[in-house]
Amino acid sequence: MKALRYSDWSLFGWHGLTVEVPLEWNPGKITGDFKAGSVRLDDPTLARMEIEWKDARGDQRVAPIVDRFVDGLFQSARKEKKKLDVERTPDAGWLDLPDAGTPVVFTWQAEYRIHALTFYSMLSDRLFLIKIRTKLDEDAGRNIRRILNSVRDTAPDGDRTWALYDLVCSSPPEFSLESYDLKSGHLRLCFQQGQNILQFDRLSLAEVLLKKRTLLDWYQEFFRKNLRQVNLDARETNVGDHFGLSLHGRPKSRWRGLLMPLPFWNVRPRLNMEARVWTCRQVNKIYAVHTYYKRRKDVPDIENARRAVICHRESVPPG
Amino acid sequence: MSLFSSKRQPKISREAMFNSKPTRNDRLEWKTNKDDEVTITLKRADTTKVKILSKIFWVPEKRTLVLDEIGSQVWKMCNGRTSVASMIKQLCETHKLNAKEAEISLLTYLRTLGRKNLLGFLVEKGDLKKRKRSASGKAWG
Repeated sequence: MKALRYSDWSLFGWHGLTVEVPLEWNPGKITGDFKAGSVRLDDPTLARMEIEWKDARGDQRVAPIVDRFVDGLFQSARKEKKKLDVERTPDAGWLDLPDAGTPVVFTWQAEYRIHALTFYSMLSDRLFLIKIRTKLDEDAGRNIRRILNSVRDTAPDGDRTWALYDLVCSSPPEFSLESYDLKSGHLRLCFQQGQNILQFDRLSLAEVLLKKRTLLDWYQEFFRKNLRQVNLDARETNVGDHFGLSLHGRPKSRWRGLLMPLPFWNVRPRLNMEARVWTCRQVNKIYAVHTYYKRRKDVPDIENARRAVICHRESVPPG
Repeated sequence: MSLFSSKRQPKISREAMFNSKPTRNDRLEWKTNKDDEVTITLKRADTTKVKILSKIFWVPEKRTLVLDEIGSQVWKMCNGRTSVASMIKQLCETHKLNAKEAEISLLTYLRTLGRKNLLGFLVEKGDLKKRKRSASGKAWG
């Protein structure tokens, strides 16, 4: 048995659930929304972790779910004529999840060893199933405990932390995740409440992107679609510890809008825009936070939204 | 059987893909320009079919392909000795990329170059075997 060791760890957060995972485990598949969904985290060789959640509608019973799940496992093993060992409720005194009701830990072993945790979250009234996969010759006991003990959920009225691929940010409870774009090199999380929008962007390879142009030139080129509707006022400034831009956009006049080709086609609401854009040299990335609003009080303060973004590791608060 | 049957590519596991070593097509001429970007010269094939077609449609005798900074870096690493896994590691270190991000971009890029016959992959014979599946179940219906 070889001990599975990870030196770097990072936070993964999606739809209110956060968990500490090795840095090399990254999302391979994401589906669903706050009420029901799943996430799979892969390392370079294996799908390591799967998190599934479902709205419990007040039903806190976890045991029937585990029963059904184990039955399914045996059925599947019988079909494939494979041997399967399931160890139910092993000693899980080490588990310390303050907001979890009736947690059940179980493991099974076929070609891989799977460590699973099922629990009911009293904060969000959801049921969670977390599975971690290890190879048979790997000893991952300490890692499993660290991962499962770091699982935290968020109440529906609390700020939600979103963390993936080196992007950590948070959204107010009244804003729901409207769309996300997880392209290699460009991540975008867009939250919406009515017409108001809060948007986070993270771009890799900042040095390459800014090799032959300034940050402002790059910004105007990259976000040109969003800037079509506003008169932009930009100034260079320090954003936190980094060099960046402070931007404000006022909607163009209605008359000007009418002069645009096909003015009645795809009519967009006239919204104000506030943004902070900065380059983080420590991680070679560009970060951008945008808010679009009718009235300023309807969106979170841009400075607070910007402060919630953790761009490099020194910014992580201790503990 | 399809009308335009093509040569089937062997399917390899993810692990084998990471262990494979991309290698440049020896027949290609390439050099680096003053900006340290790789310029590949693609010559028109010298076959009868192409000769006839080039009489009807204009096909240039040579085309040049200029790779960008990162493309050039990847191209130089495709020497038949560097594995895909170590290429990912190198890209992550040089450009401070997340491993998954580097992996997706690199594999897409290598696939594109492979489809254009600009490079091939050296795979260990033992890596060309069937993939296995593990038992799984459903938590809720």
